[in-house]
Amino acid sequence: MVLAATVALGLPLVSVQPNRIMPGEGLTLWSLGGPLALAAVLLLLAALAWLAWRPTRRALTLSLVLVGLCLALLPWALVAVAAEQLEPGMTSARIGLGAGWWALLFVLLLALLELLNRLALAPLLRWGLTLALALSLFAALMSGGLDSLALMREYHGRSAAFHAALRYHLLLVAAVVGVSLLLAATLALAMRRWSGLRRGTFSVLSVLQTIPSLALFGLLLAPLAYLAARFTWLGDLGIRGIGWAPAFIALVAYSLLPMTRNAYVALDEVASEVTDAARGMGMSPGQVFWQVRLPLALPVMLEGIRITAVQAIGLAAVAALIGAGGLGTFIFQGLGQAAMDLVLLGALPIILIALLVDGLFSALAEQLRRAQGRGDAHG
Amino acid sequence: MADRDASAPIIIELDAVTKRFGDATAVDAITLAIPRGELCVLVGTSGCGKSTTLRMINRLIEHSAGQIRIDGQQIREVDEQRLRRRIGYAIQSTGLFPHWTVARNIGLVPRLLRWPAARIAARVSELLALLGLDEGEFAGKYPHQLSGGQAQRVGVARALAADPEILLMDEPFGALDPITRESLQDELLRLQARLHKTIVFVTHDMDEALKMADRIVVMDEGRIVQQGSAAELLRAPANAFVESLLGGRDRGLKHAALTRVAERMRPLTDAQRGGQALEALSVAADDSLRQALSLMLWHGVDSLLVNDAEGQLVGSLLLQDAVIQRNTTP
Repeated sequence: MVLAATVALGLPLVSVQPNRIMPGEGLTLWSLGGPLALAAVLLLLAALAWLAWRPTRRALTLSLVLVGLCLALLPWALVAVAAEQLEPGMTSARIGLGAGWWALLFVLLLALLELLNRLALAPLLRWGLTLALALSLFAALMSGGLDSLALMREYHGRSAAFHAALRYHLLLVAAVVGVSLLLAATLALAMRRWSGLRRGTFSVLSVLQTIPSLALFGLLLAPLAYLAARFTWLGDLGIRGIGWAPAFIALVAYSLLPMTRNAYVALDEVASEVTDAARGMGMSPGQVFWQVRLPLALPVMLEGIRITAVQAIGLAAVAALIGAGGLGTFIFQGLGQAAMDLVLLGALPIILIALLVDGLFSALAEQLRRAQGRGDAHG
Repeated sequence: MADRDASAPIIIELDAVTKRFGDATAVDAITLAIPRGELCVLVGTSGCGKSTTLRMINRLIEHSAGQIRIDGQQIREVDEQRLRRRIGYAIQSTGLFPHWTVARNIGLVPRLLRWPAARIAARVSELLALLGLDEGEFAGKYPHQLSGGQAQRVGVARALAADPEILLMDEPFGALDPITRESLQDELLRLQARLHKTIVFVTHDMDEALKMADRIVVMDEGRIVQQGSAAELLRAPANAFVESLLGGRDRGLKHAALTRVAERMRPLTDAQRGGQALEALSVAADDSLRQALSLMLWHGVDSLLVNDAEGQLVGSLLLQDAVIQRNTTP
């Protein structure tokens, strides 16, 4: 960990480009802040290393505070660098993020995760910490100090398109998760009712899962185009060979396996002694399901929703290729124009959203487990 | 039908009851009459049909042929959920709902019966006290925070919640360690002496059956092999199977475990009462003969002093009296 951070210091942290096309000039920590900055960073690293030497709970908490602070300050440091390096009026000059900056971010995040794991904080506290970091980043963005960042230059060039794409992406994912949850719940219940359905359903879903996403989009193209041509009302609804319809169908198809499997396993795994007792006490089948089976299955089902949502967030990016829109649009535009910052404009929000959604659902499931009195030993 | 008679001596009647699962016959035309207030233990090896028999009584399993009557009324004529709410049901501790607190678990059947909340709360406190669980400490706990013995107490409390006349217990102490198991058995016997429920108790442990039962029903391959009191079974096992369940050559010790020291001891004579110091070894009058014999074996003595519950010296037990029953009482 310390080693990686030291390596990061030697690498250029940021680069300054006069415009979008010209390659930038790399700047290391030394050239940015001189010996004083280097000494400060080294001191910080030494402090962390010293704290890690004797990992008591207090030392770990202190490290967490330090690492968290570093992460929160990272965007603000960038604001300072941008203000110093660029003269006002250079409207097309931009700051690129260098290998060192990314490495630093990576190492700090790694340290953060490790510390969170070791400290085993309450899930909602963890979620709150993540949110605080996100807010710091957001505030730095809003302050305008980062406008000269290459990424932000790309953003300002197309902010309306970005917001529309973001909204669209989230809407698509939400719709996919919602619809596949309904379908999966129905399937899981049907499989519990007629156990013969189980083998068939799971094999079909597994096969669906193995089709590469682009191939599935392609496979849907022809039949949907045919249907839209045949029944004009479908076309009026916006269902065509390309666009949101095939993307939506394909994403739901991919979501069904994890969602159904988790829902089924969750409902099935509820201890038979518990349901037996419930019946033996005189609960009706409906009461057994709603008061006993479903609440006990919920944490595992939430896990299914989490997997599905994270998967859909990523896959929806690919759907941009068939004109489904969303944040993936920027990725493919950027790739086409060899503009890495544009790619990042699409990719970074996707990663961020995926991480936030993942964290939120994990925290919810764990909180639910604890509320049900089934937390692990340190609950 | 007005044939329900709540004062008849027989409360549960099984009449040629059979249960078939496909081709296999789990329970084969058994007939059994259980009197009100009796603790009846069904005992046998696994797969003998004892659990199936128990679960047919509250219709968790429907019988294939024959009749089961409670208070003279065929259970098929009663709505199954109404029937079950009238019958207490306790199984191994895992049957508690893990997502509900102890208090909520215990209040389950009263809630199903739509008792007012205040009455449920009062009943839950009453039951916690009855089972020796401190309300302040346990009411808000979740099952995973309880020890095995505590969880099982809660299970029994839950079964008793709506004050049912009949209690069905399916290996309720099966998952407990021997010491906890013993104390819960004692506790149930103490409760039964107060409450006089009709209890049908399933176990595979003959020692448990011998200790608990007013009547033992030995089952094998879906049939009743023998029924009777513990003493009757020990005196005359019906066949080799019952004999092997009774422990074969350990039978003598099992019988000794059912006999109280008081039955065999010699009360103190007035001369002894004067304070002659015999051996320091002593047993309580309520201890079993088995415990007394064990002490004698261990310490290599052939007589013990007997104390009463208050620790007062009341008599002595000689090895010869322990081994051979004498009809003379001085």
